[in-house]
Amino acid sequence: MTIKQLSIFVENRVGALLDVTSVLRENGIDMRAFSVAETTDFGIVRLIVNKPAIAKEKLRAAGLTVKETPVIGVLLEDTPGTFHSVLEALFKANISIEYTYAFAKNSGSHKAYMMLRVEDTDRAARALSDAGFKLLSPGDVYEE
Amino acid sequence: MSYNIYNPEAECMPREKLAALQSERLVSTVKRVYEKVPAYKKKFDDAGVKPEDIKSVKDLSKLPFTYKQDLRDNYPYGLFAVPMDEIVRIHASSGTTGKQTVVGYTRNDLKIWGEVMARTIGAGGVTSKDIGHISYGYGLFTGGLGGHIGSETIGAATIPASTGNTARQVTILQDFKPTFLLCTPSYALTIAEYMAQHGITKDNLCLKYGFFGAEPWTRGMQTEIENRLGIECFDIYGLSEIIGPGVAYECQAHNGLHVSEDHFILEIIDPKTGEVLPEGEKGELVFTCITKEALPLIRYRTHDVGYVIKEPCACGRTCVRIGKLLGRSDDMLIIRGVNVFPSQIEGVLTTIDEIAPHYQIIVDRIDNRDMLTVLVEMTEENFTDEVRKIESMAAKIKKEIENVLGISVNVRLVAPQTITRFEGKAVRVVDNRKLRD
Repeated sequence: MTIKQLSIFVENRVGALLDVTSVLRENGIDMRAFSVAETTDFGIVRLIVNKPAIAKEKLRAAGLTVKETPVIGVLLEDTPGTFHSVLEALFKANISIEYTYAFAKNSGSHKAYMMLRVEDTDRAARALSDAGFKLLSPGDVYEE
Repeated sequence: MSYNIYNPEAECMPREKLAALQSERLVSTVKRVYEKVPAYKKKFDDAGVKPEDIKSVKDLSKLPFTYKQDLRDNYPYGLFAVPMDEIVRIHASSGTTGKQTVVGYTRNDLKIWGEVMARTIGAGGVTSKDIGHISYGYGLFTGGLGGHIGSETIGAATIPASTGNTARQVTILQDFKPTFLLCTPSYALTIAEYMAQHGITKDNLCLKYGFFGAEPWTRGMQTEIENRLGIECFDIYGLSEIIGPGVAYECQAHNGLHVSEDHFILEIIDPKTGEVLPEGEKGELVFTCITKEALPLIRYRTHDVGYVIKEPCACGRTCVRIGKLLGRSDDMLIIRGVNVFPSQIEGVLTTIDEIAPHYQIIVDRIDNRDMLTVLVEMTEENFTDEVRKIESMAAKIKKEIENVLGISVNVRLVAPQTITRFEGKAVRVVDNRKLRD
């Protein structure tokens, strides 16, 4: 139940993000989620898109450094304390989180997805399913 | 105006007399190295030259060159021409492959060093009445003790301040009232900067002259130092292989650097062909030591590029002058007085598996301090999307480069294929320091 996230290395300079978004626009690729990890010298763009294989190929062709990273998406009710329960389930399974970011599923649905990058994806997916959480399946995001 | 000259007899010697003296000293030096240094005997034999072939300075070009590599091949003492019990001092400078360049001095060599350094500061006006502040590093580097010996030889009261702790240096400059300063030009500006920040003006100091070298500097920096410290600046030139500072020095006419030719013979050669170039043409400086006992190097290739001025100087000295140094014939960089070769950095990078050996060195001068930044390309396979892994990789590269170079550097990892390539070859060095006038 893992989702392929695209991780793209970008230099810390004006217009670096445009290099990424222009490729996506030219190829009609839809972004599902987007996050940036930034440092003084560089940034890493993390993307969930509807067509990961094509996006990866086109981004590479444009000279960008792209890596596919497996992540887990957890469906959450938009109510206080839900994300806490997710973290609790992972904590009980002794799984540490590298990073996490959120995105809304559909406007007006009152649901959100948390994307999680963890050390052991399979074990984390199992721990979350066992705790009763619904995980995002590739079919929910991809149109390939 | 009248020009200050420490040793008029030597510095203003008529050219014919100087040529005769050089010839006599060259002949005996060549004979001595051939007999005492096996590496030189082999070098001369390989070149088909015998000591008897060298009858005067005119025969100098028959002799083979000595390269920095010869010092490395004979590390540490293999080129010494005297037994160790005659050596009284060892200095060393950073090498390109981890091995340092080791040089030695006999008691008499130190006397010569004191003499040529006394000429150097004497040319600026220093006498035994002055007080000298030596802010070159004391240690293996020849700058500190070279300045020190010259200052003591001339009879000045000598303050061995060494480098660092600018606050204390400025206190000494105010309280001990030195009249001349020796340091790198960038350190002179660091001192000026500190004074400005603490409301200390040049009127609080007694400095009259400054002698600066060991790194490239511009006319602009000179003017700035002169204005901010209220001193007259003199350029000095030297390298440890020849003796250290004191090989050549600027006089009050400020038109080139006089060579102490009774000790060191200067040639300008075409670095590609090795041919000696006529006066005024730009080429590599080559020195032959004709009085040193411990390490009398023959035709030593400095890789410094300059030209020679033979016409008499307004100051009355007869010895030739080196026109402003014009850079290097190799790719060596001088960063805060330390010699850096791109090959040293490349050597480190090839030992680290996670990265491509594609790199670029960027040199900037920020607030009068040289900053070296190394851009390193990541490989596609080793790109990770975890920030801390990339940062720890950069930290590891930084640490290993710093271990080899001995100076602090910045390291930035960049995406694969992003370093500018010119006809497939990466542009290795971008020097933004604008050191040419």
